[in-house]
Amino acid sequence: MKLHIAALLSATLTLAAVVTMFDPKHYAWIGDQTGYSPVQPIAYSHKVHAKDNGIPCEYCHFSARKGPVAGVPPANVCMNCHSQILKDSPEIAKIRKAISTKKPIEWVRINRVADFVRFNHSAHVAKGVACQTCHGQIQDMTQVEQTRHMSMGWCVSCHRQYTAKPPKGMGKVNARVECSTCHY
Amino acid sequence: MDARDNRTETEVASPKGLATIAVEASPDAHGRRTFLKILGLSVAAGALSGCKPPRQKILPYVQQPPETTPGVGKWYATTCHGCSAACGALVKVMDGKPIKLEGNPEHPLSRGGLCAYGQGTIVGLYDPYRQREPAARGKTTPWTAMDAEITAALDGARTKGEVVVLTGPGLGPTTQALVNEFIKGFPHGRHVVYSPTPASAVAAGYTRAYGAPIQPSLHLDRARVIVSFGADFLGAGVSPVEYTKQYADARSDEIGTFHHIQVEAGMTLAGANADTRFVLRPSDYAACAAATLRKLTETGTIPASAFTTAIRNASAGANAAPEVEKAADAIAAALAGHRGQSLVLSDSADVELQTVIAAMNDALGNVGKTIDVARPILQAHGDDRDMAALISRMEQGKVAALIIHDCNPAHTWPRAEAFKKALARVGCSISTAIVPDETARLVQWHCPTHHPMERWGDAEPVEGVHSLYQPTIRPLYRTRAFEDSLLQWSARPADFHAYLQNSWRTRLYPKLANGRTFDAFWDEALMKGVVSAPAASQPTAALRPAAVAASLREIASRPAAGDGYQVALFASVGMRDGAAANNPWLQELPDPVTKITWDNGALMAPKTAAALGINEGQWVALVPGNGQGSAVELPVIVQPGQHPQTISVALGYGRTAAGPLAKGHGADAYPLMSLTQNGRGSHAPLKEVKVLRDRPVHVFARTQPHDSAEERDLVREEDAHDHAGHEHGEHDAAAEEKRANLWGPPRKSERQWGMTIDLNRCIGCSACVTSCDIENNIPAVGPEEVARSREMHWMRLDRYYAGDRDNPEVEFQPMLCQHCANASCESVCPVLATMHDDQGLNVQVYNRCVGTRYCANNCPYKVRRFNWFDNQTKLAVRRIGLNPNVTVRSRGVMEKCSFCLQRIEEVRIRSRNEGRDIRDGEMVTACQQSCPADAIIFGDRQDPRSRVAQSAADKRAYRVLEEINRQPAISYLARKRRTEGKA
Repeated sequence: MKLHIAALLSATLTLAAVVTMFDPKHYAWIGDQTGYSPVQPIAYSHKVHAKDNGIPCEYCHFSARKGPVAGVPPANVCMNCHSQILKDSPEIAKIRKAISTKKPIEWVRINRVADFVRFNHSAHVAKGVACQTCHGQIQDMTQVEQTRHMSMGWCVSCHRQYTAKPPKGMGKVNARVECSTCHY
Repeated sequence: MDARDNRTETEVASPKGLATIAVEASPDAHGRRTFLKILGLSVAAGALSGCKPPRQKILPYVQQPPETTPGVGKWYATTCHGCSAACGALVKVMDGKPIKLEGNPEHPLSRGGLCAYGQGTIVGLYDPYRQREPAARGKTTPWTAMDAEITAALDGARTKGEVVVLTGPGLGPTTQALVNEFIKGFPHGRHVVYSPTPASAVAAGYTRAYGAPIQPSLHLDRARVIVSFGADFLGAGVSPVEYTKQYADARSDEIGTFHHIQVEAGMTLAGANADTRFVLRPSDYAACAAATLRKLTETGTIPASAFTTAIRNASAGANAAPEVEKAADAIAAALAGHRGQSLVLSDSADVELQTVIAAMNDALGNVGKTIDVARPILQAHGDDRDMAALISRMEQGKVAALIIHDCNPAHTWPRAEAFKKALARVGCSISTAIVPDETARLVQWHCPTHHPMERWGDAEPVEGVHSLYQPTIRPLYRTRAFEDSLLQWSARPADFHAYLQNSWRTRLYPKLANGRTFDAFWDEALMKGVVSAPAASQPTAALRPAAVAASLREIASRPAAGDGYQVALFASVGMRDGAAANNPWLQELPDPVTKITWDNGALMAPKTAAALGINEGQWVALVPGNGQGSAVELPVIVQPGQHPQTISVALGYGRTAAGPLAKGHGADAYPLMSLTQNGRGSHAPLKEVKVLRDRPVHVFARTQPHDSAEERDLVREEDAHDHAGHEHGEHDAAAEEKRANLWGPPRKSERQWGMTIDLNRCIGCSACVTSCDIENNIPAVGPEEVARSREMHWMRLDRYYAGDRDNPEVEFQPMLCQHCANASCESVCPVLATMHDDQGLNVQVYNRCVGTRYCANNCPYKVRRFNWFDNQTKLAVRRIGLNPNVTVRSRGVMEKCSFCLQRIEEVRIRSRNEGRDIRDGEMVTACQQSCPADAIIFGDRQDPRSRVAQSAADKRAYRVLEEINRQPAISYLARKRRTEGKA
């Protein structure tokens, strides 16, 4: 009995150690959600809205410039247009129901950083970092998918790169890579 | 088992459960094997779960209120409801949830400060022990049924007898008006105000001395000499924040010229700050004040007049005990030359003493200077005689209906059993208590009111200062505001918001309209939280020498108190009257003087303990001597500076129905309170102090077990009269550089954060500790863990005694992470979890930390805290109050003060988004914001124009343990204390 436990224990520990410690690529693999694209409660297409109809991102995600969270738009923002457009669609009916019953739509979260990381949208938007830098070609997606693995190495590489050589039109960048920038 | 009991079980898991875990994790063979098994499994589970993260949901608003931004805190002005001082407060609301209370800088009295107790009150909102539903005779009943029953009962009571509304102090003018209207609806309606701690004597003393019932407000900042007879005006007095602000200003103005004399029996917070402290028994205060008044007339400090003649005649031949005379001599000498610049005060329930003090202030020319009669205190503490009369009428069956609001006499009335019996005779009894407390358990109808953060209201603590309460969250449970209940029961629309607006429209708007519409006036008042109106009355009353002479004669005729023991009861800084006893943060707030958490005890002088042959933790029974009340059993706390014949006990502990966290902590001391025809008294003679030797020794959960700094220069004090001698600020920079340095020069950056703490302003009130706890999600760990030195406070107040143990000097020092440039912790961390950042911060990276604790062992300031367990509460309702901007630390992780890094980042991001530099004073740490003494300054010490850099260059500046060259980012400014005229 004891032998079994010891064997199981050492096997798992060794496996975990090999996977996590010796290959940085695999280290990043833990928790990597790239390609994650769950079905959402409403068949919302970023392609139709952002690309085909050219609605600016910040029309719906209006908190992105103001605070840490970009924000999923409240149902009443959808109805700004959809009280006129596509009134009879079954998808829009779901929004109307949310408003009439005062029950929020339960979207499935896709992009996330770890619990011990503080990411602030406004700091990035104000500097002129494009939404696509982190969210991929979102304007082409009919169903949202995570395209970056959002690990620390990925954040830091961009911070270093932009500080050394800011992209065109961004001005001087001082993107810190101190622990205190994200961890508190 | 009803819902109430269920709640009890879950809540107990918080502190007590920790002890259970500790036993399981002990390193016996079996436990270790289990531990390793779980470890292996968790590694495997972790690796596997890496493939598939937990599915999370995002729930956006259906209709987002335009003023909200997700993840951004909003501040709303309101009023603190901790006590009747009604300080101005700001509530931080994050995503619809109030998470922090801070002082409102716009408030003319509290001026941005907020005490530990006030800040802790936010925890009461999320108290799982709150009464969630109205209940009739213990059974949950809907409001409609309750109202029908109560209206019928009140109607029946109309003819049967009196209908009494019994409330606590500080109702607020509008609620007061509503209560008045309500009782007018009954032929025998009556309103009785009852304060849990006796506080009516000051007004009574003024009434006797002047013939006008007023309680003047005080201006400590205008006084150069303050004499207090037992009043702990800095700790838990009438208005601690306001007085602390004024006191710190007075002490900092021409540093060293201010003189504070305290006459007291126990070591209070005010006494610990005094320049001169006389240890006298409470029974000697009156004699001492009388002797002081006599000496002031004899020495000519009070110019000769009809008044002085009356005093001299009344005190002819009076002679007090030698130690009393000695104290009076010193006080009279200190007061000489400070006419109009001095202040004498007391919190005693002795009306004669208060009369003498009122006369002394008048004769010293302090009225209109340090004593403000034009703006009286309107806290309405009630009269004990009214309460005693109410109880006797209840006993006689004359009270047909009793509505109890905001007070808990079944616990706080000294003869609680008598109150309970009398309550049983009342036909219709209603309580509006927030929690099912001792009184609410005995009434027929429990109609829980909202928590003050869920309701409307107003306050006028001092005439002309009007502040508003506004709800910052929708009521969490099916509760209803007391005011709405009163309106409902008097068959009017239950809309107190409209009633309040109407009251302001008629009372204040005409005076303060300034051409604005009422809506504009109201919105601005709501935004600022407070408006100031001109004082209505200018009372002109002259001192009545005959009344003062009568009081002096009464004091002189008192029989000698004898050599027996006396008890002195006091409201402690953290627990006050005990209403918040189920609050883990306040329970775990160390008492500023004893440093004991979660407990009260019999505070006894070292000499007394030696004479009785007992040590700390052994038990005694205090047997009251006045023939009434009952004995209270308590463990002994040895307290330097305590009078040998006086035993002090903190009130508010030993509650039976405050909730599970209060249970079993300390003993109820209210039965020791004296009760005479004149009312209650906090001081009473004891028949005897019985030593209970067979009881096992009690272990106090004390955060600072050692009392002395052992000759090390941690808290620097300078004699007030040698400005030139010591100049601590002058440290030789060259010599410092020559020292061996392993760390190299600090990195260059746009700023270097730093702090200065002015020990001449700090009074040790511990408001910073609670502020830090709540801002930074610091858990309470329970008494068992505190006793093992595992408390989690990032900010602590070190308290040292110096000199004579019978009457020591007390020194306070806020101690927190010093953010050393040459940090000892950083060089020993094997995983680089603690690092220095470019802004001069010593940062702790929780996700890197593996819990070796090397850093804590190597820290010379002992400010690092280790999470021995998952200390954070698991109760969903308590977790609502957590700050979402600060990581909740898990088991096995080291933590410490971060200089409020989340606030720094917020300010930094805001300034960068706006394309500007951070302004000096823009970044305020939680401890700094709440400090009622303004002792803490934070800022960029690299910028020579910043306040922090300028104060760090002060002559009094020094750094703790400078000799070990850690280069802390915190400078302390040395304390100056007067030493002449020492007792």
